[in-house]
Amino acid sequence: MKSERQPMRSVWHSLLWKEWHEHKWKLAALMMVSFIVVATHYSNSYNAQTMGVAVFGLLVPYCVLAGTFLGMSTAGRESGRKTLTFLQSLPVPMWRPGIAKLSMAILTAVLPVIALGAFCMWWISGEGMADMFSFEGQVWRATDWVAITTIVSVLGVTSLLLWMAAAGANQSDEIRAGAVGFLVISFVWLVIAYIVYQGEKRHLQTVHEVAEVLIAAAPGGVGSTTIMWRIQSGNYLLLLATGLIGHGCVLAWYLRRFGRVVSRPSRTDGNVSSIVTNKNQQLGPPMRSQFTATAWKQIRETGPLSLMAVGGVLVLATAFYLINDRQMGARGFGEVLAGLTLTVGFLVTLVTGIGVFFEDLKPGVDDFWRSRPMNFSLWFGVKFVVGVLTLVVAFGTLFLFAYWLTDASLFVRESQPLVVVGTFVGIFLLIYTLAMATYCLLRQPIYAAVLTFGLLFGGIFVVSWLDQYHRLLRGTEMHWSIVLALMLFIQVYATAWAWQAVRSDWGWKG
Amino acid sequence: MSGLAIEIQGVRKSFRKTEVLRGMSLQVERGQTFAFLGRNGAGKTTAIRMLLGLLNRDDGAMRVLGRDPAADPMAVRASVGYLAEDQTMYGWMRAGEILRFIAPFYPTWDHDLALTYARDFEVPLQTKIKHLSKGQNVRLGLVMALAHRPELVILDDPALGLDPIMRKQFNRDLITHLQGEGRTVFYSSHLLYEVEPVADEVAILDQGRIVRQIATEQLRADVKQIVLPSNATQALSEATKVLDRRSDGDELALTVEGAEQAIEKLRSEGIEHRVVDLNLDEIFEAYVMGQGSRPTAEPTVDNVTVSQT
Repeated sequence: MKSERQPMRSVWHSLLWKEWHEHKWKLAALMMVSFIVVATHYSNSYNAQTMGVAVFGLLVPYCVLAGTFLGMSTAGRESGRKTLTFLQSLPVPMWRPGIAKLSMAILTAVLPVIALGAFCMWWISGEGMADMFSFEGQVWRATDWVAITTIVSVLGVTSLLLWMAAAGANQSDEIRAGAVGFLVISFVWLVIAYIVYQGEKRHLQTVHEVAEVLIAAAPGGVGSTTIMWRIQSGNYLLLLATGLIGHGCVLAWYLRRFGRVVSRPSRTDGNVSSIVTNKNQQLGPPMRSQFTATAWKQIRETGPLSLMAVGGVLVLATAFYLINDRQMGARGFGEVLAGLTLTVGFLVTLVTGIGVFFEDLKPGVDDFWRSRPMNFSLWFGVKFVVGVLTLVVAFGTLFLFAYWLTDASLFVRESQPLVVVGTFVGIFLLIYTLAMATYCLLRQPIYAAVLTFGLLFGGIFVVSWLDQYHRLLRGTEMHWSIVLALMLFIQVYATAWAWQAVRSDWGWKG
Repeated sequence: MSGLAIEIQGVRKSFRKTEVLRGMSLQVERGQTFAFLGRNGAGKTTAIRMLLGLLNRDDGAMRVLGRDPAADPMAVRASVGYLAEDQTMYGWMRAGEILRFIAPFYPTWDHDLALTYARDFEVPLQTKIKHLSKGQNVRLGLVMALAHRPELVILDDPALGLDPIMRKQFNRDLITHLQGEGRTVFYSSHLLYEVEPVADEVAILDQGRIVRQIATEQLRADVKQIVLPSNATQALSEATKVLDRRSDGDELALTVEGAEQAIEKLRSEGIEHRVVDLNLDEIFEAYVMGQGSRPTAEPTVDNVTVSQT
């Protein structure tokens, strides 16, 4: 009781308390999902090789997702929740709330990585699995591998989060912050790739080396990875300095921008008379049907995100191509493009799934459309299908482009290429539906992303566990049928939950 | 067809352990401008959300234009124009786009009327909603609430956040306009001086119950402050409902319901007194904050009898 009557000790105490309150459940969710995934994998890993790959396999998507979503949240949550004006009204410079928010977001992203690393080290030591294993042609002690992967992941997720927060700062909500952040990050990589390309093309070794050093400051874990690799070659001080200075600049950029959004002055009637007294202003015809209106709205909401994603994929593919595979010509570019379409497609599908009802379920807007005489099932169905179609058109076009560039040789090594493509489409549809359903129920983008991630990876590990230990799937003719049936079941179940949540206004409104 | 636009009988609604509406009852005649008054948090918005079928009641009965909003919410919403308190719309749409977008949801939407209203209310159709001023936002919401020619218009404190001049304009011009068209207007507010000039009838909601429903003019005639010597209060105690009592030296100021009878009684007993007319703000304050004997929990039959205007 005493503490409730006492004011907080300082501005920092207040700001960090607020941020801790807003991040603690995110931390708990990330920690829980990560450990569920690792625990599920625990029973499958019986040697250093599988263990090492498992840690890597978990931490790479973790860094991308946690960095992206926590960065989006840091950049756009206050604006999206209309609480930015409150922060601006506090008698403290905006860099203080900015740094409190960023610090707590980084802590939230990093703590699960450290905890996982510590857990895996303990596990490896306890099980006596500290033997050697190989990864990408290099031989590692299992403990060294886990330690380095953990450190690289900590640096990587911090870097990605910082870039995302800085690039997306002051956007009107998290989704827009994420889209802008993604484009900026893609562009940075393109610039670095272009420098590498020019260095190699003109045989300018210095330019090439400068570009490689610049990678240390680039968004995401690759810069950190480079640092770790360069430790062995003795160039680490330069790389470390570049990384620190580069990220220091990004931090300064973030702090300079955070919360410094100037809202357009609210016009008084007198001021707008020149606009509004135009008695001849025209109004286009009404939309023909509820179907048309809803489809139009959904295209306007999902379309820009998909277009940005297409642009980002093309930019990233060009960057990767320029750095790595340009000797392979158009075919190489096509393969890079196809790979990135699938990789980035995962993230964009997740964001798009969350975005289907993101605007509609915002407080206030929720009441606006619910109070209209609309057919809920049509509203839900059209939004769902149009969202899927927008993604299919965007990524299908990219994929067909890649297919054409490779002279139709994509997946040619696969015995059943259509099954491979079908599996990806099925998984994407599943991610989209799970993200939509979790957002409709949780109404918080971060939690929806974490839960989708957890459900998806949990599901994959459960299937693999059944396959490995119980031989329920492998070697039987029912193999694909069972997986397909499982996916369909989850798909239908998640869609039904989302429909019910939208129709009955269920969902966490805390 | 029933002569009532809205009929609410003994409606109860709780959110977990908090009971927001405790047997609320009221009736609104067709064609009236009805002011639904209550302090912030009294349950006005909860009641309105139930009228639109956005919330289900725990108990009681409710009819809107002859339909049960819980059973047939779409039909109710199609025939009601609604403007929410601080309504938020899709910020990325232009004002003109949202009118085109919303049109197909209403079978009776009149697009020409929407354009007429947009011009009359000076809504800039090419401007994005996120860039509209508060006043323009409210007026755009009104265009959407009216363009399908609803028989009943529900306004949930729509002028909240407008500056005093705009609030006055809103009440004087728009409500008068709606009255002229013969629409039923159900207007929720906590600012009484605004509704006083336009409302035919008022209902006061306090702690989840309607404590008084009466014609505005009749309310002003019925509730008055009587200042009399402190030792003369016995004359009023039995026959009169005292809403508020304040002592000032040797005098006592009593705000009473049924002022006419009370004054008559004082005159007949030869007790010296002064009568002070109250405005709606003061009457409302007496009902919800008064220090007298509280009005009965359930309104009397007389109270809920709808006065013809």
